[in-house]
Parts: sequence; C-alpha cells; structure tokens
Amino acid sequence: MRRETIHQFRAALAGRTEPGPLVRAYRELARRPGLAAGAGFAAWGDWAGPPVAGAK
Amino acid sequence: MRWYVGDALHARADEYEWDALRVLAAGAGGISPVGPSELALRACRAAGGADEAAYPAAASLHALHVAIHLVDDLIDDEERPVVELPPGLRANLALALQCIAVEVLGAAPPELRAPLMLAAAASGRETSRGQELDAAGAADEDGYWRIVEAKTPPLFTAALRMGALSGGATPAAAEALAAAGIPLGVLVQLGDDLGDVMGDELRPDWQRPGDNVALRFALEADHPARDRFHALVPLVYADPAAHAEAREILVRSGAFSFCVHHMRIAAGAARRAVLAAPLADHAPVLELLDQLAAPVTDLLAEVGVEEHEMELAA
Repeated sequence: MRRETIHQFRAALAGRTEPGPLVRAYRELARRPGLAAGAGFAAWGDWAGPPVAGAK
Repeated sequence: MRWYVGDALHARADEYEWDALRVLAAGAGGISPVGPSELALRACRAAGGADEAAYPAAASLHALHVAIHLVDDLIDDEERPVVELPPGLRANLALALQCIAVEVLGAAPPELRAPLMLAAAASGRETSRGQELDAAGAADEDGYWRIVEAKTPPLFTAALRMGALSGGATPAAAEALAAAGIPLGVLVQLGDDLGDVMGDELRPDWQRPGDNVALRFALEADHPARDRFHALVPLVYADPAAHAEAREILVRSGAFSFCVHHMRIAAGAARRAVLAAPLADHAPVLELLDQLAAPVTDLLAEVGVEEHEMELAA
C-alpha cells in the first residue's frame, strides 16, 4: 500500500500550492473539530473491542 | 450463527460445569454483528455457500477472538478485563479457548477440517507475534505500521480464508479473498486508534502515545501547537481541560485527517482485493466493508468529496 509519512502529509496539508480535492477536504476536516467529534468512531470498538456482550 | 457459536462454547462449559467459560458462552449470544465471525459468514456467502456451512469457522474465530482479548488484557494490565478472574486463570482460559478454536472445526466437512484448523492456528500464532511487537512499542513511524500489520490483520485474513473455504471456494480463491484481510485489519486498527483518542473516555493510549498514530502525528509533525501538545499529554488524566485542548489539537494539527486519509486508502485496497477474488458474489463482503468504512465516507462527503473523487485518488 502507498503510504504517506506523517511529515509528507503535514507538508501537503500546510503547503501553499493549489490542493486537489482530497487535500482540500483534509484541510477542511482540520478546521472543523466538531465534525471529528461526531464522526462515530466509538462504533469501531465493535470490531477491535471484546467480542462478548457485556464485556467492558 | 450467534446461537451456534454460543452453543459451541456452552457445550464445553457444561461438560465440566466450568463457570468462567459459561460466562463467555452466555456472551456469545450477543456477538456483535460486525467482527471476525460475521466476516467469515459473509465470505462463505460470497463463495456461494449456505450460512450453516460457516458456523464451525465462525465458532472457531469467536473462541480465538476471545482468547486474544484475554491475553491482550493481561499484556495491557487492563483494569476491566473480559472476565473477572486472577491473571493466571485468565491465561488458563485463553489456552482452553485456543484449543476450542481448533476443536470446534471438527464439525466441518472432513475435507475442510485440516485447512480450517491450519488457518486458525496460523492466525493465533501470527497474532501472538504481533502482540509481542506491540508490547515492545513502536520506536518510530515505520515501527508503528509494522506492528499494525502484524497484530490486527491475521484474524481478519483467517476469517476471510476460513469463510470462503467453508462456502466451497477453491484454495486459490480463498487465498485471494484473504488478501483483503491485511488492509481491512489496518482499517480497523486506525479506526480503533481514533476511537481511543477522540472519545470522552481516557484510554491507555495517552500513556503510550507512540503506539497511537494520531497521537504520534501530533507529537512529531511540524505544526504550530506541537510544543503545546507535548506539554498537554502528561496532563490529560488529571485535567479535563487539558484533555479537551489536546483533542482539539489532534484535529487542527491534521492528525485526525491523517488517520482518515489512511483509512480511506486501506478501505480502497480492501475493496480492490475483494473484487479481485474469483467468487460467486462479492456483495456480502463488500456490504460489510462499506459499513465499516461509512464514518470515513460520510466525513469526506461532509467536506465536499464526492465518491468518484475518492476512487480517482485511491
């Protein structure tokens, strides 16, 4: 899998060149903490968390 | 499927009046609709098999999944383990579950027993190696990705392989589908990392920030609040305001976006791997994948990225 590093990604995010649609979207995500808070990642515990009901 | 899995454990718990195993068996009735057992069921359907054909594999994967969590709790010194037992007895229960994970495959058709048992055993072995790497911690960013790929994907590749074989797929087709388990495991681990730091509950990740990619990003990337973030991390347990501020920096620094970016890439790679597998119907697995990737897809749609743009950039 192609994988940008932390430094490459941050440089693209903070760069001054005209961004493509995805970098524009990532910049917009970084400007809106409310979106991140409501993104529903708590549901990921169903995959990565304990597989039995009532645990934790 | 859920009741079959529960019964498979119950039968063994009842044989010895084994209360701790009975607790886990009772919980199996409430297995989450997502997870390795469900993934195996979907892979079986994709291969053209009836749901019942996947049940032994689903029971095996459930037992293995619980065993992994029992051990994970021990390694992490988890305050609220899956079962309330002294550590040595939890390790003992994990051993029983690993054996049960193989034993329940005796209910599979004779020609499938050996390949299914080998797949389950390999998954447990590979996960154990990943757990050991994880316990040692990531020295750098490359180390983080090595741990992620070693720890989480083996159970998912096993679920896809075992489900497909149970449904009648050829070994080659099952292998092709199993390849989707690697990006799928990465996707799940990244989502877990985000869930652990973006929620209100303080998870242990804040004490080992190098092992969570969002926290690592905010500590390492060149952004205006990096020094402030370094100062906040040790304070989050004692000070809710520090926790809230640190979480906001995670978003504003781009750490959250970084995770979303890599989740999108992983979801795309998993989708392509599923579609490349020569199976009767890809839809059952793709539906589950879409469900898993929905938070990412929805977020990107919210900030104006259309679905075709996500595909082009994948």
